[in-house]
Amino acid sequence: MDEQDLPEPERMPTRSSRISWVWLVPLVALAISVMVVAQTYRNQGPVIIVSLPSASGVEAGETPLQFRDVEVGLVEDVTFGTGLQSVEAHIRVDSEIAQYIDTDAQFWLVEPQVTTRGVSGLSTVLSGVYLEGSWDAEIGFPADRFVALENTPLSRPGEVGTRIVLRSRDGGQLAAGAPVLYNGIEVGRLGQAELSEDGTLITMDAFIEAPHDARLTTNTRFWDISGISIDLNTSGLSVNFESLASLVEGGVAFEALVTGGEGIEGGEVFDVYSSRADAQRSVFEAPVDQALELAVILPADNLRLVLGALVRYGGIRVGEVTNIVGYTDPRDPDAGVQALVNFTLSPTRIGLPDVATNENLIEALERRVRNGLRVRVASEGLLGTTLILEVFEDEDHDGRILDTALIELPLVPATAANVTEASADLDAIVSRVAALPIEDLMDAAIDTLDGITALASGEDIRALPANVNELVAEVRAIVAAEEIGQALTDLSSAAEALETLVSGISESEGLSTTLTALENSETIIANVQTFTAGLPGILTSVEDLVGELDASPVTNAAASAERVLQRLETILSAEAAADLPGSLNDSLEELAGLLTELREGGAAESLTSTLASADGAFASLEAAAGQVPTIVTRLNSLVASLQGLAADYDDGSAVYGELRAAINDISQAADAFRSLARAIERNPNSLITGR
Amino acid sequence: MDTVISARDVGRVICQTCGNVALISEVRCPRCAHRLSSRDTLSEQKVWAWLIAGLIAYLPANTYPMLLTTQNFRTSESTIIGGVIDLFEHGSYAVAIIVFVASILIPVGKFVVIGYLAILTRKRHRTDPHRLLRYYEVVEFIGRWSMIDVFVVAILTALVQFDVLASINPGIAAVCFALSVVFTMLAAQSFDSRQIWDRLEDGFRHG
Repeated sequence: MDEQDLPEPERMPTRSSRISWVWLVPLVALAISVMVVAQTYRNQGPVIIVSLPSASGVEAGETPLQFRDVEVGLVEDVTFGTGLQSVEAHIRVDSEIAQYIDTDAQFWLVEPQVTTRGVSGLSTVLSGVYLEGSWDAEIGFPADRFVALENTPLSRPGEVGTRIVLRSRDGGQLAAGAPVLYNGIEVGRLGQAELSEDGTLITMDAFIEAPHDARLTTNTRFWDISGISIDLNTSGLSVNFESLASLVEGGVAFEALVTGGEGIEGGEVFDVYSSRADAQRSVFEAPVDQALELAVILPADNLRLVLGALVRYGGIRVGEVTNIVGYTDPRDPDAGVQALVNFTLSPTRIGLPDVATNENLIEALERRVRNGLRVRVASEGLLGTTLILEVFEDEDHDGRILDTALIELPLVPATAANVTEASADLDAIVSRVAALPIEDLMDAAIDTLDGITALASGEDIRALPANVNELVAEVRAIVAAEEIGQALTDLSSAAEALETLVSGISESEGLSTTLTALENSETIIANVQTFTAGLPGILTSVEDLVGELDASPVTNAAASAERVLQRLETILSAEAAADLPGSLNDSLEELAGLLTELREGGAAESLTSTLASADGAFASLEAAAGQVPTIVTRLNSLVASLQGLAADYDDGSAVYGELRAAINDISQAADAFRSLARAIERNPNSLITGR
Repeated sequence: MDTVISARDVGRVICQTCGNVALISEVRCPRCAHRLSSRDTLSEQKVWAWLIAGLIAYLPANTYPMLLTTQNFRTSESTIIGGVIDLFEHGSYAVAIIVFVASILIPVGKFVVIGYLAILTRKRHRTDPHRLLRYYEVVEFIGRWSMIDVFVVAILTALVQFDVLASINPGIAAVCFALSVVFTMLAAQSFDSRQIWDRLEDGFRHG
């Protein structure tokens, strides 16, 4: 192909003046890049520097700064502080949060910790340590250099609660982070324990979370719940520990043991008692407020005083023993080691003036010491085993004064201990008890009992109750028999009737007139004569009866009954009777009552009086009988008159008939009387028996 | 010294799709009806645009972490360079070299070669066009292999997912790197290799 055949090439442009749309791609990419860069730059916050004692795991570019477990920064660099005294972590903080990091901010390192309360910061085992920051939500004065805390802080700013200070004598059991329990619920935690300046006390911060902090009042008491409390008493062995954590790590519990008290504001100082019981006690032993630090030197041998022992003045708690150390007197080094006991003393409670300065107090105390204020060891408690320090006024003191020069603390002079030697006393009691002739006593008692047993088992003694019972029953039957009472009544009424009759006879003047009228009646006279003839016989019989009655066993019965009563009483009052069986006793008691009744009721007396009245009746009868001749004379004259009358009135007259009837009645009465007399004569007992 | 006669010089145009030679006056390929153009007039702009986009994407691909490796609760981030150094320190020289070549050498080489070609073909030159073409072909062929890095990340991410014990997640750099590779490949494709001969001066050396 020839070149000429080819068409003339069109010179076409190899590039266009148009702009390709592809340019959009790098433009967009650029825009995105710029945006990202700008965003990154804008988000980049300031760098703060936190000083740490050691880096311990803090790595540049790795270790984050967290706030409430949210990462808010990153350690960018780790350098040494000035003088290589510390490690400085340069932390790039997020810009949003940076403004809150002001001078109040706190930082600390979170490392894995294996404690009794569990493993904390477990995530840091694998992810490495991190720095934790804490700050409040208020924007304060900005700062960029901080010193990290050595421990995790007790509370974070913004956490609601109350911070208080606890004071304890022994902090051995209380570890930082240990729980504060209220009724077994964890409501707070303890901070790091620190020694007080003089080294005698341990103070630690405690944080009580809201809302439980509202339970804190001035009356709140804290006590140590560390470890196990073992209580052995009559109800058995009780082992108690509040929580497993507190067993190892310790902890405190609190409670308002008395109501009342004012709310607290935080920062108040509370004592930690060794047990709940101690805390309870403390409520009633008001704590020592403004305490004067004093000391006393005591002989070291057998000094059983313990730390915390009470100091009393007249029984009132005025302080407590704060420290006991060995002490050698520089003025007298040969004296050997003595005990230097430090104690607190509430000045107001021993009557020192309430003055502000310590110097004035010491002056006042010095005066008191000059006047005899002394300190001694004393014992208190049931067996005197608890030792206390007693401040007292010595009447015959030796004139020693308050020594303020020897040691730092004012030294109060001491006197000999006032300790009841409980062991000695106990020994004495025991030996006295041992000396008691208990064994002899027991032997004698055994012998006595043997004798009593032998006696009681004897046939006679055994039969005795039965016999006595029988006797009693008999006596009872006799006394209770209605017949006796009836007899007495009968006798009494008979005697009365007799008396009435006799007096009626003697007083009947009408009769004599009648008799006069009848004097002449021969029949009547004969009848009357017959009667009169029989009368002395009756009288004799009655007299015999009376005599018989006098001699009769009734009197004897009364007397013997009296004797029986006396004897029975003797038996009853005898001590041996008390040993008789209960039934016998009862019977005897009944019998005694019966006898008393009998005596008081006058059964015997009434019997006697009845007899007496019967006697009287017979006497009247006798007297009446004395009048009988007169009567007879009168009757005779009566008969004569009657004869005269009869002559007047004849046999058939009505008067005569009536008279006859009257005479017949008298005759019948006389017959009845006779038959009575005869019956009495035949059977004097019927007087008693009524039959 | 022989001169190279291009199709354009003889009033022809080659269809880029089916390879048919047509008259330069034809607008569409008589065989496949594809649009014919003797030169891509926007080629240079496109190359530069893609190349710059690729470069923009390549920067974060190297500064941001490529892999987020979580191992026993600890998450570590590694950039491409950091990963290579780590591998090298662990003694995995072969892998380190592969990663280095695929992630650093090739992309950077591509930028350089494409840039070189684009600059060179703008004005008259006397470089051996065959060599340039070979460069171009190598760049175009090898460009896709840069994606090996992205694939490794993708596979690792899919395979190693044991939560806190061991897991691998792609970092932002992986996306950037993939974009960068894509952009450079597009840049390479946008280059109209026919331009190599357009401003060829006489007397170039055959290479």
